Amino acid sequence: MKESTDKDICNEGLFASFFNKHSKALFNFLYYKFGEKLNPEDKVQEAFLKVWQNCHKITPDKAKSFLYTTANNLMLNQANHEKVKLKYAEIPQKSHTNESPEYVMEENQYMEKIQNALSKLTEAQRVAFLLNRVEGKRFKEIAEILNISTKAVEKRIYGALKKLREDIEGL
Amino acid sequence: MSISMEKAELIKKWLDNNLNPEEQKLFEALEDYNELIQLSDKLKQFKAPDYKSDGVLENIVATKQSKKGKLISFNFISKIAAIFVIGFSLFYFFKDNDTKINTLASNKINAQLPDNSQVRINALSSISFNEKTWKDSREVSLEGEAFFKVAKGSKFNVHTSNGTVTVLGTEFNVKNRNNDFEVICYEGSVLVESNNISETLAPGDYFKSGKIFRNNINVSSPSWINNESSFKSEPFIKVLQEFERQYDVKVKVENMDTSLLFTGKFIHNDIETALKALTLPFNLVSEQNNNTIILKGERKK
Repeated sequence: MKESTDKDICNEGLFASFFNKHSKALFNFLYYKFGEKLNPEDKVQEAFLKVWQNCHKITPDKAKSFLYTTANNLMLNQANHEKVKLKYAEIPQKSHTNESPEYVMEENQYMEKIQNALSKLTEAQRVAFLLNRVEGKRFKEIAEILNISTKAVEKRIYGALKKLREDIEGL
Repeated sequence: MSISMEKAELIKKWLDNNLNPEEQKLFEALEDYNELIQLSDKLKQFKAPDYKSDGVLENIVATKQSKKGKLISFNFISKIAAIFVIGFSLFYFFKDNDTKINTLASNKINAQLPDNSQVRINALSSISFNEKTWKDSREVSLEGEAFFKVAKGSKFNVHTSNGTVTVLGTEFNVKNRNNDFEVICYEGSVLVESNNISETLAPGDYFKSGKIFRNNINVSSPSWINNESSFKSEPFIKVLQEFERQYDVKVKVENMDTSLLFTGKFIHNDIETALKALTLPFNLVSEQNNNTIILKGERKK
């Protein structure tokens, strides 16, 4: 039987760099997809634990997709895929003092509209869109994360933007 | 080609951060330009919270080490393990098997007791009960704080290190932290026995460290159920202890008398706002350093 070599990721150093490379990105992915209610943080840990425990079976090039699939499944198990209204609130309130109450109110209304519209996007659209707009990732990077083509990413993001704008104006 | 480039193409290129200077100008001339930029700006506020990876990797790697041991001679160890498992399961089968539920700091959970009574357990607390003997006697042990909604039925006892609470079918909150023992009755009636004192509480009554306050509570559930902690003339140190439990942080105080009384509340899901609620009344300055929060009194005496 072959002992752990580069064929798998049982090596601690290798696993650590794998963890450091992907943990934040995986967390963002789960957060944007499922929201905060289902403890994305725990799922990240669980998923990495599964990778670690099964490291003999996982080659470095398969590790990422194994990780994402596992985390996604863990989430789905818990979400039971009911219609979860995602809560994206927690908007950091800046303590500006010199703005008129009207301005603040309009601002809040606008934020609520966005929040509402975001929750109406499909999960696929929302993840790609927020990774792009919030995390500043380019289409190609997102394509790598989601394991789909750049063209598909473009379609999701543009579709999301269109839907979002329609929703916000329509409200 | 750029002149005839469609709006959609421009927007897509903008999304991909891929506009050349010429296209950038065209894009800025679009009628939707302002709206897009504004929307894009606001979206930044939906950023995911920072992922705290401290210690996670170490935890994971640590789990493996024990597994490696098993790999050496899995057969032999598994035989021994099997004997233990059988032994323990027999032991537990005949002995009473207590179900224990623990919560971590900044963590609350709902639990269901065998008769469908509901318990909401506050942070850093634990309850245990025996499922086997539940039918004969409803007994729960509690450390920390929990809110009970008890289904109607026989006597229901909550045991704590500071006393026992007995009820029939009702809603009540028990807090048993260090030497603090508080019981609040929200519905029905509750019998509290603690240090030779025996008191019956009616809805709205409040029992705290040996004293009873009649008709003092006019809400239907404790505030922590709704992710808030509220205090009425409590020493500030107790407020800080609750804050530590809810946010899983350590709080240090400098230049301030923590026995001062605090009336007010803080929320459990936004540490910034919660900190403000604690610091503003006393004019404190807060500093965060990893998991430690330092509160400083501002003025020198």
